[in-house]
Amino acid sequence: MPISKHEEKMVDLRVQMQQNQVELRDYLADLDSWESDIKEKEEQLRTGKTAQIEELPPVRNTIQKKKMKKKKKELKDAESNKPRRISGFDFKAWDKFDVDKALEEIDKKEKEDKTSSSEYETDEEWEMERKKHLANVEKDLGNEFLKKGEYDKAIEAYTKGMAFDATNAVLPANRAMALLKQQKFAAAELDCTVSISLDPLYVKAYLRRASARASLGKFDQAMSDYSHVLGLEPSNKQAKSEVERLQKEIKREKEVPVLSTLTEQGKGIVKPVYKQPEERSKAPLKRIHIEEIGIESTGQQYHPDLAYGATAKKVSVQEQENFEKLVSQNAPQQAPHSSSIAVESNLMPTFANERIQPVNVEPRDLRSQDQQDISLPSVETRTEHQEVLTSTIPSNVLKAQKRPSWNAASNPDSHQSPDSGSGNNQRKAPSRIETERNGTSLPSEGISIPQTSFQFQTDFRLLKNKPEAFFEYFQAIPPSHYTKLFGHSLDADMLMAVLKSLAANLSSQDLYEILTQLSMVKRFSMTTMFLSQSDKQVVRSLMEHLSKSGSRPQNDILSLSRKYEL
Amino acid sequence: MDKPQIILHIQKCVNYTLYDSKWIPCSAKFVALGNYARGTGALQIYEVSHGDFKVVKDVEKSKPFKCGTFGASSLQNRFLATGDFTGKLQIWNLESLDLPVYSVQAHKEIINSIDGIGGLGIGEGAPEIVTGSRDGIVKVWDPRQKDEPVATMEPEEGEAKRDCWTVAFGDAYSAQDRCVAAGYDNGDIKLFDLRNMALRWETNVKNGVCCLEFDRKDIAMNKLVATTLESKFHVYDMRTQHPSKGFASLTEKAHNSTVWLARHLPQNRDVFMTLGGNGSLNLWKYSYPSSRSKTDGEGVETGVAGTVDLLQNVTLSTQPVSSFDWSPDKMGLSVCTSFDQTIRVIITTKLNTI
Repeated sequence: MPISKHEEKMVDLRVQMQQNQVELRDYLADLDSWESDIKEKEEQLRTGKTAQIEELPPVRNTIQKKKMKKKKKELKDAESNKPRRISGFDFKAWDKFDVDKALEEIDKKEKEDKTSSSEYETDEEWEMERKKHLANVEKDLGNEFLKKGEYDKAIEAYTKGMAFDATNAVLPANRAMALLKQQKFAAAELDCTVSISLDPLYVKAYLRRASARASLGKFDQAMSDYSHVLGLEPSNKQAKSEVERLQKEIKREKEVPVLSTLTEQGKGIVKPVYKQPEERSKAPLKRIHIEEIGIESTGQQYHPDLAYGATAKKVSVQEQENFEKLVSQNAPQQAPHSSSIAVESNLMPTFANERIQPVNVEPRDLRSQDQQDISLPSVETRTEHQEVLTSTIPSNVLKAQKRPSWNAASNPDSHQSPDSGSGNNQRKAPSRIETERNGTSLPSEGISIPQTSFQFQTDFRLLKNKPEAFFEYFQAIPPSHYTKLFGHSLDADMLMAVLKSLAANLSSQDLYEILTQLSMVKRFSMTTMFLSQSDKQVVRSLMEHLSKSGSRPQNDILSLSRKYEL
Repeated sequence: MDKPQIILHIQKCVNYTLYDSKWIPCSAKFVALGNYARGTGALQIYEVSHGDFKVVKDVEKSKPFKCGTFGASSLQNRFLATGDFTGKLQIWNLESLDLPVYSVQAHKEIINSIDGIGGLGIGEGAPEIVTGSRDGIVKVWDPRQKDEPVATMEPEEGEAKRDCWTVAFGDAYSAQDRCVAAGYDNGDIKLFDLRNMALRWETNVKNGVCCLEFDRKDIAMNKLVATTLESKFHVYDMRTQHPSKGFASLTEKAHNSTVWLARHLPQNRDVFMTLGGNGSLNLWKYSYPSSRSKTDGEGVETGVAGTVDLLQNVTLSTQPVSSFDWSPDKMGLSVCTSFDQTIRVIITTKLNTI
């Protein structure tokens, strides 16, 4: 049966549709198997770790950057006003790089488009970047100050920068530079250590730490720093020359070991360090103020002025009136005390012009009202422009109270003596303000009457080679103090020094009183046993002097000389 | 009668505007990129299995995505490079999409087009990404270099900046050779030689260039397809360049609408799909002439263009097709997105018999 053309076409179409159906069914079946295959393959890829890291070609245009730029200019579509990145190794370019200009440009750009803020995925990232930027700004500021020599400002800037970015190794290293310039070597060393911990390859930090350490005398550590630098940069000239210099230094150190050991012998004793003239610091010497604490309370120093200003006039009027009464009233009590003062005024040329007046004045200021029960006669003498001014300072009483040993004493003598003692202190105070500060103390003016055996011993050590000064000093001590003052510590040396000075200055002083009081010092008999023949000769001469003067009965002198083991 | 059939396999609607879709290499999965109505970016991963595809991952990012590529990533990593509406280039590890592994503000305006090379075993040389943006600048990026492009192509100062609509890598047959083709809204096509850092060729096709694609990226330039507005596309024979005339080409009308895209079949470089503004898909086959070059009167070689034949034509959507991607692993499998917010998985049969 013949089929028409139309029919044939219909059949073909049907066949084709069937074929397509089959094709598609096949394809879909294939797709299913492919899906499972590819899944397997993907899993392999993920877990297989066939991580054969190929040698990738370098990033484009990093090495031949300059060449590229030239060619690009010829290009019609060349990159034109794009800021170009300078490679870290392109030192020439960095030398020409104008940081300020770049910073200004960045600032300008930031104003122009705020889109740069969205460059970072998170706020934290952006904040960090911003802080790093700020740290760099501070660094540049610091560098500027450093150049100008304003080290304090530079340090401030670097410190701020470090607060912004604690990971920047340059900031502490630069601060160390500024500290070095200020000769704060220990701080500089610390900063350098911080910098090195941040960037162990930062050569400048090593150099600076080495120079800080060398200045601190840590030569070995400085040497190790320099050798580290040479390890990093074998051609570093500074390190080389410094190493040579240091080696010489260390050699010299070894040649003069005696000098250095000297300082180590006695703890707390500072001895001058010997240095070669060329090594000596060129920096001007600084005056260092040393204030003494403990021996005299500082409060004492301003009280005279207080009294001087406010009460001095009234006092000076009153004292004249009170003076006569006082002398008569307190005569018996005053006796030993005033006699010692009399002696003092006779013997001390420096105080020749002083009028010493025992005055009894009621305490006047607020402070003294708390202690109205203690109104002791006090002595205040003052030398100023050869003028005599006497006044009473209520705070004297306070001072006396502060020394419990004196305060507790009940006998009139000891009551008097602290006052006279502190009075003397007072008197010397104005001049001491000047003299003490200068670090020198004149024996006659600077050293006050000792209140403790320790103080006496210290003074004794200072004065034992100056007989006159020592005599003056000893004279100022009321004999009644001796027992307290020396306690157990009167040794033969000390005793002989006292006796010799007495023998050398035989005069109208109350020699008997002094000798008696001395003999009453504890363990005195023990001390006398250590006296040599020549020493005893001195004592003998003193006794002879006493008996000649005839101020005391012979019996007393005899018993006294027995006490001195004659 | 053995014409290939283009069959709609699966389709699914989504709630965002789709701009790009890409098969994840060595998998039955693809990525869809787009823009939520609220102005955020959509990044979804689908897996095809047994006649259906399902969402594997779905993340929303702050900025809408315009385009993406796997071209510069190794097969091991399969990192996706994306360009977004704000001009940011980002590279994502699809295993952990919280933060990009690389991020840079590449352009001031939207990145219209992105292409990658040097990864997936396709193309010799360094992995590189090229981006083209509305700001008129084409930049080449190396994922190993932060913040700065490795090459920039922009108009000289004073010249008008044209909107760059499309970029494509090609000619990457050796570690040094590499070309970037860029198409602009004014019909300009520019070919940049990255080896010499020079403009190698430029032409104007009168209508805005929507898409450029080399038939292969990793061979010496063979063919370049350029699709344009006004329903035309051009095929250039890139083997022979005449000093003045440039490359030989043919022009074909198609779709009766803008030709949005052209995509070459990975398994056959002479077969390609064009996608139209009317939602249609055209499958073409290029036929070479008997001789690809001839010597003109002055003794200079010029190229000879071949011919194209339409193999199949289907219309799947009423809206323009925004993206189309052939699966690199399964011949005939492709994914297609269009502005009707639909993702389609398409099967093309009998491609092996062409």
